[in-house]
Amino acid sequence: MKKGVMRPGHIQLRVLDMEEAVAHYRDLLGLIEVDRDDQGRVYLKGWTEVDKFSVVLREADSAGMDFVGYKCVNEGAVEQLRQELIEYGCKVEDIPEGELKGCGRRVRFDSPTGHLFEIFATKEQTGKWEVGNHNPEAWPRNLTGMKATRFDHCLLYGPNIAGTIDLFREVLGFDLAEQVLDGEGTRLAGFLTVSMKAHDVAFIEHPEPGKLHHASFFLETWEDVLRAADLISMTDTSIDIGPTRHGLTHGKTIYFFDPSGNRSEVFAGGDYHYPDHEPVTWDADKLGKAIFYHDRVLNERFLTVLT
Amino acid sequence: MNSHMASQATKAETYQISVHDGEAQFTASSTVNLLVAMEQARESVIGVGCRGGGCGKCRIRVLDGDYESKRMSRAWISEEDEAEGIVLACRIFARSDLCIRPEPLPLATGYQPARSVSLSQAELK
Ligand code: FES
Ligand SMILES: [Fe+2]
Repeated sequence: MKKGVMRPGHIQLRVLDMEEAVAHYRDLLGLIEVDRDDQGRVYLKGWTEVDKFSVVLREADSAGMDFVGYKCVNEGAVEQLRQELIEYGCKVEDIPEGELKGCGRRVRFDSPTGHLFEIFATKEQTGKWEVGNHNPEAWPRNLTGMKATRFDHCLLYGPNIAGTIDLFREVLGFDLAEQVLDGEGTRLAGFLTVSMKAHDVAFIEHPEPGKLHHASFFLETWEDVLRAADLISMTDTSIDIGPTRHGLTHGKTIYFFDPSGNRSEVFAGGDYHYPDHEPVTWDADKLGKAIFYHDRVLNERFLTVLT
Repeated sequence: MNSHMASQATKAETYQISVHDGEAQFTASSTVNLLVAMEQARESVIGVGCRGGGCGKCRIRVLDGDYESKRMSRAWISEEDEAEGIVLACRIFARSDLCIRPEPLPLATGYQPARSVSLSQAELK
């Protein structure tokens, strides 16, 4: 049941060297740099996104994800969900308006997998970059790199994904679109959506809390994914795997790493989800095919290389 | 003996990298990080992950020799580790022949960005 959460809004990533990170996210992925703040954080977005920013980079002494935030339909929904999160047992913190430049108040909460999440409803809307929404042209002509269109989702690893998945379904109104079950029926992976997309966030069971597997950005076509692969080689960027296809969600994908070791994904296509769809189930003994549809085996890195 | 990257090495030098137990040996250019040098030599004695100093897969101990290093995630390399010559191979550049030993950690259990007391921005490490 929908509870007023609309979509992924922003992700804040820790990077070891800001200028190297900006070269990755702005020049290679092709995100638009929109602002910087007095903490030295850099704000970016994909060109199709209407809100001011969706990616925030923060220089730190470790890599990984600080938090990921979801946008709600209005402040009333945020207030209602804040109460429900407290009742559910989450530790909740109010982040004042302006802590992220151009963003209204946020409600931050913890989770069984050790990740920090946020909900918010207000963010400056600067419109689709260079095209706006009045007689918009098809695309801006001055894009660079992979021309990533939007921040799409992240895959997070941690212990007790059952708890975090329950929190997302029961409190935040996400649907379970896909899952991986072992022989005993234990859920090893869950892909959740709050929209028609195949996933807005995904979780995989793992002993270390609070881990990031990847942050993912959407491209239009398979040809764009191949072109992204060319750019990865041209720039000697650390590659993980691909181009290939996922079994789960059936997206066409490539995985690579930012200069601090955070995994990036760009992908195209994939399945869709309506609220009446039963979850798609993959058996754990088909995990290779579920993750990398063509190779049909997992590389070791998929399960162990995290930030 | 190590120092943080102050300036780019002016010209490429080639050094011999030997693994402590003698099971592998490869050459490394001073201009590529030690992990990529190992991959280019088609060796596999060090674990390969992100190649960016974030995931900890390539943790090694340098037993002998000089190198320069870039910033490494504190999730995997503490200040004490760094002082002892424990480094991430993907973040160091040889400045002499080196003798190394893989020193992988199974899980980064010892370090989480502080968040138990407060969830606030200031507490995010
Ligand atoms: S390979 Fe990830 S830290 Fe070196
Ligand atoms: Fe993904």
